[in-house]
Amino acid sequence: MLKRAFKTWFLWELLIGLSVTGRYLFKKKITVEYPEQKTPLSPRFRGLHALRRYESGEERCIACKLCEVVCPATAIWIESEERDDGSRRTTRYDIDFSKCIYCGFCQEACPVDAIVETQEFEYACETRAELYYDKKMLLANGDRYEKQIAANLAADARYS
Amino acid sequence: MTQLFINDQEVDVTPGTSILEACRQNDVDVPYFCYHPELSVAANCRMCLVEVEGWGKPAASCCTPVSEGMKVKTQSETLAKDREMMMEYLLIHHPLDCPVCDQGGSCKLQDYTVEHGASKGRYSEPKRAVINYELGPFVNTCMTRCIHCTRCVRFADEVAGTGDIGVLNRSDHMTIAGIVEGALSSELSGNLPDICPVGALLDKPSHDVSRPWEMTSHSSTCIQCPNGCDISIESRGDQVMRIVPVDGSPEPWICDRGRYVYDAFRSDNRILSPMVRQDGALQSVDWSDAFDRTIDLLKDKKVGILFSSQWSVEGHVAISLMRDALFPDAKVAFDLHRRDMRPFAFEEGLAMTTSQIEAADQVVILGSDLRQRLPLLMQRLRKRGRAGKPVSRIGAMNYRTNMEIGRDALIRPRDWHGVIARAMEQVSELGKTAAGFDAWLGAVSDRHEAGKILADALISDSCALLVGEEIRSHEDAASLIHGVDLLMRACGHAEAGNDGRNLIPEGVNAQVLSAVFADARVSAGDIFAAASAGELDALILIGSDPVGDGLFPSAAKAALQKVPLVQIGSISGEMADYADVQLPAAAYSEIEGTFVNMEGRVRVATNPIKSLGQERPLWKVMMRLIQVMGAEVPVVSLDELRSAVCQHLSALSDAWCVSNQDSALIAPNRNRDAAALPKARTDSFELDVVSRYSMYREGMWARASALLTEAGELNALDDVLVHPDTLAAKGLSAGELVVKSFLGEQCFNIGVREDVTPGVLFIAKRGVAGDLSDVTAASIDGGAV
Amino acid sequence: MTISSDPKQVTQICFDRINIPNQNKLSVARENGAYEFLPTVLNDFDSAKIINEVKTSGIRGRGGAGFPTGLKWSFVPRNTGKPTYLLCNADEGEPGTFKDRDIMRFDPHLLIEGMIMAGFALDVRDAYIYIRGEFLHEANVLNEAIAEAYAANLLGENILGSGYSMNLTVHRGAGAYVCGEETALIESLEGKPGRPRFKPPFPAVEGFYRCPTVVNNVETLATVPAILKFGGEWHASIGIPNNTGCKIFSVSGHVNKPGNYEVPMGTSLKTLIEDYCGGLQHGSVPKVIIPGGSSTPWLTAEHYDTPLTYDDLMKAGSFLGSGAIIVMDETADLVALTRRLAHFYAHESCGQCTPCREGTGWLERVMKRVEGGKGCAGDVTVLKDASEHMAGRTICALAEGAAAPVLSLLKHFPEDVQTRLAESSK
Repeated sequence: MLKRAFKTWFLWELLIGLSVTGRYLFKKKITVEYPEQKTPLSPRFRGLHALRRYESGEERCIACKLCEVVCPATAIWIESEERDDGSRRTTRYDIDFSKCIYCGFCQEACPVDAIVETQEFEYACETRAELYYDKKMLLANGDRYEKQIAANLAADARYS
Repeated sequence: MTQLFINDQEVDVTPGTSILEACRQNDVDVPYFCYHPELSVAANCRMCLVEVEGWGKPAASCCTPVSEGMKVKTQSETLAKDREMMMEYLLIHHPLDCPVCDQGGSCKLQDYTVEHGASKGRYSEPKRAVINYELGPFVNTCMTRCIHCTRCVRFADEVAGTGDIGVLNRSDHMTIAGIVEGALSSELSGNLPDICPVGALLDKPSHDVSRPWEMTSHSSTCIQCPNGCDISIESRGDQVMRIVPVDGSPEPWICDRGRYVYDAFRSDNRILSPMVRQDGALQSVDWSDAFDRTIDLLKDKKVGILFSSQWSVEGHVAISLMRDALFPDAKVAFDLHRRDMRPFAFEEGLAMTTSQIEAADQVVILGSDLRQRLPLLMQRLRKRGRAGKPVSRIGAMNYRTNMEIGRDALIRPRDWHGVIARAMEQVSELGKTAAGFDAWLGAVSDRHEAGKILADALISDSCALLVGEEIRSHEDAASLIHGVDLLMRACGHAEAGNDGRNLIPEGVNAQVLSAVFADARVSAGDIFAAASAGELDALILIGSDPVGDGLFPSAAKAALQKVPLVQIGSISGEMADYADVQLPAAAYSEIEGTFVNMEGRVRVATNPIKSLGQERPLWKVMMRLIQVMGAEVPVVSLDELRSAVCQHLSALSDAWCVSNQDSALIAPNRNRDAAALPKARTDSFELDVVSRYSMYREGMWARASALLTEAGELNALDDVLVHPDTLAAKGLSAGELVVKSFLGEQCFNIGVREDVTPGVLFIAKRGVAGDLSDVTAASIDGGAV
Repeated sequence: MTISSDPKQVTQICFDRINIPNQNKLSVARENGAYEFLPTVLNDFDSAKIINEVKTSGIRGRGGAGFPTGLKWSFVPRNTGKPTYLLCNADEGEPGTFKDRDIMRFDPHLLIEGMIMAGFALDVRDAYIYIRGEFLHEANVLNEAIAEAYAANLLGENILGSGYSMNLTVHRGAGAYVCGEETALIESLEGKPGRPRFKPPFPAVEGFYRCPTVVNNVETLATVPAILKFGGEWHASIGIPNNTGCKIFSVSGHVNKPGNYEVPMGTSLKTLIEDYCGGLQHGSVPKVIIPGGSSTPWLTAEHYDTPLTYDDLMKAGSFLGSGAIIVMDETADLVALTRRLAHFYAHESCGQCTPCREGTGWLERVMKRVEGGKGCAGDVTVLKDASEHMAGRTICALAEGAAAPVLSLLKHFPEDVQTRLAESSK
């Protein structure tokens, strides 16, 4: 009874709370101040897609359409034809990022490591139309991030 | 019946059946590559091994006949290991290029590898690479993928009859190759990719374009020839990607014409929106503007209606309703190949099914290039020939058939009377006669020895006559058909159940058309003549191209230059040069509708592909036309339309109701009273003209297809052909010569061929000589003008 | 003929006249008894009697399979409306076999006489000798002999006035081992690529041009005159029951006197090699004996005493085959031998059946690697799997022949392979 009155009148719970606050006030901070600061990303991070090329500059994609069929969100649209040199190539490779759920099935299905997900995730835009990437844009992504993609694939190679 | 046990299940099969067939009949799964139900057994893939109790070794089930009490096991540990090893052997040299192979996703080798194969191959030596060979415009080859099942070799030998694919070399250097590079000259070549179990033979036009899993299948009927094969139109979205045969339908194959016409569906030649001629050119407008113009052209005018047979039954009945509502006096024409409009003793359509024809004791082809006209019926005759049954032929040219024709006679069209008369004499000597025999015989003075072939065949128990275009398009066709009818009656081949009178029609729905338009039909030539003479104010052309097809191109050109044209249809074609208004009607891939083939088999298409543009089913276009022209619309739904159809044709309503449509066949019409007697010739030209049909070039659809056009160029003959003797008799030689006919004097480059009857001028309709199609007789005089 | 009518005295049948010079000339052959008994057969025997005598004689096909000849003849359907054909299989392609060559080269009239008798029994109008393409000399000898026989009315219309007519034609093969298989031979003779047909239907019912056809080996047909002359019982008393008559063995390999030896059936392997062939070149027992041509499984020293009969060799785990005995002493490199045989079969597979087409090439490449010192531990399983699943899974027996050397090597001499593999891993 007396103990209860003491706790009531001396705001005991409040003091305990303040002590927790006080302890964290002087502890080392873990908050990351994005965008000035960035967290490290796993090599398996699944961000913006890219179409890769071989070192010769030849595009990797062979239009097998496995990514298209495995895509659970039907975000990929491919059209293909026989190129003059007899190889099978895409004439159209579109990804609608407003549909994409970044599951990574496409890069898993790809037999030639052509479609990959980069670590890029900062591509917010103002209209939905800007989220519709065609083959040219995806190949440009590949050219831009090739170093990063190759490093990530190499880092993950021993587990795959 | 032989009783055996498959996996301890007791089954009964007919004696002589192979174990594999017994398993298939009883839904027991046995893997195989080289076996094909329509081809001979090769027994070389060794995938179909099964165990038979008491036998030391596994047996190849495809070539082992069943025996009484045999105990077969299709699953066991040793068989599983055998199959695993078979897959390993096959995959030794098979490239791992499934991602770029079109077969991927519908490949037997892939499926069986997953089902029976090991997860890893142990072969680590160099793989074999094989040089490709060229197989014509439709088949893409990648011979490194070949597993040597020899299905293609057997197909070329046994079905196509060309035999131009063979096996070269032995051991693992064995390759499949053409004997002559690029010489695959089969009208059935499109089936090769279908029967190839792997990706060695692929469809060339759609190579690297699509994947099997992207396709949706729409069952329909092919309208490219009267055979009306069941087809499955495969589309991706609203685009037709390919056309394939349907498993379990009466014909296991389809011809190249029916298959590769698919690129016409998305060609520039389609009419996809209403068009109106403004300032000399056709402009796309909306429906109401197009109808306004149509009303101007047609309201209270005298019109001629010309349509093609390639519409559905519903479409044809809608045309008939439109005529009744708007132009009750208008004459209609739908057959561009018939000169003689008197009723025929037996009208267009087959009295027998193609399988009955295959089984008949005797088959006589009377004046038809069957391989071009009906490739699949030809294929059946070839099958018949391989079984040792006779096929005879009488015609104006030694048409190539890829089979051995037993008795063959080359005659001129003017000899037909003599042929029939000669046959009549022979059968009457045997005491066979029919009412009207003497009158017919009395009207003909000629006798032609080819009649013996006909008479000899008629003596047999069952005789199938295939009366073709040379008789049907003859000026005196009604009397010729009456003569043939008399012969058939005399020999007992005209009774129900044993009726061998088959008149090959020009297109599908022939039985329906001759019933629905019996009173209104005239020759297309009459309509053009009336238009040229100023008796008509306008022409309505529904899916027909009288300039490109048929026997009246010159008359049609003259008429079209004279009167305005309202074109309704799916393909624009050459009519675009003449049309004042074009109204788009849906293609056969885009409609629900009924089709009747030459045997009278009824097929209903139920799941159409979405329209590519603004085109609507023909019956809707017709009803809308009736409405805008201010008449009362007779039907407003497909069901109402079908009830209207049933009034014309009760047989169809039966066929719509039965579950097995192959059992209810619509019989062709018979005119018992049609007794036309032979007429004497009136012209004095010494050569008979015969138009040559090309499956790659005939019809609006075929010409709209770039693929068929390309193939047509490969298979083209000279425009005008005669027998060398015909020229020699006049002291002329091949080259630029003047041809005289009722059209006047024209100059053509004339070629020679031994297989044309002397006295016949053979013309290819689509060449520069197309205009000569109008004439039945001509003469050649001297060198160039 | 100098063959004794007492079966106990008989040591040679086909080779009876082989050493007389110029036997290929009709006059010489006739002096020595050729065609002596033919008129009797044509005039006094009938089809049933001949077939019965051949059945009684117990002779089994000398080409390799050992199927009773009389039985084969009795399977031919009569009165089918189709002609019956008699084909002589002289496509002696089995590595190690060279017996038929000697008969055709030195005593062609014996074969011709045998074929006339067989043809008469089967009512054959046209008979063919399908001779191996490489036997150019033998084909010439045969053609000369046939020409002489025609001239002497031993062939052609109305033979020796008996009313029976038969034509005989020599057809040269084009160098395919598989054409020694009877159905491939038929295909080849029809002008098609030599690829075996599946059975049924058997050639006796549907063979050459889909007509009833009998295909017999040269040695079998060459034995027929003696059987008919002395009677089936006489032949049945030579050798041992179910393995009657004499058999020519073509012995090659590490023996001092390789060559063809005709001995009564039942002579032991050891007797043949030591008494006839002058013994081995090295050592006293052979390391490997291939008893019936390269496609039969190997035997080792433990079977050195086996009597040479169809049944005893089968008991020992191999076959009498065509009687081509290849003997290897301990100096032989068995891996190299197997590789060489694998190359032969890979080259000769007709390419029809999957396991043989792909398997023979696979075996050759693996063997080549093992021999070249580039093998690995898994190769033994690969060789075993690949050869086991070829044998008995194909249309003809070529795959079995291709598998036999590899399987024998792995079964009898695994250590030879292991030594090679051990060398490779160094």
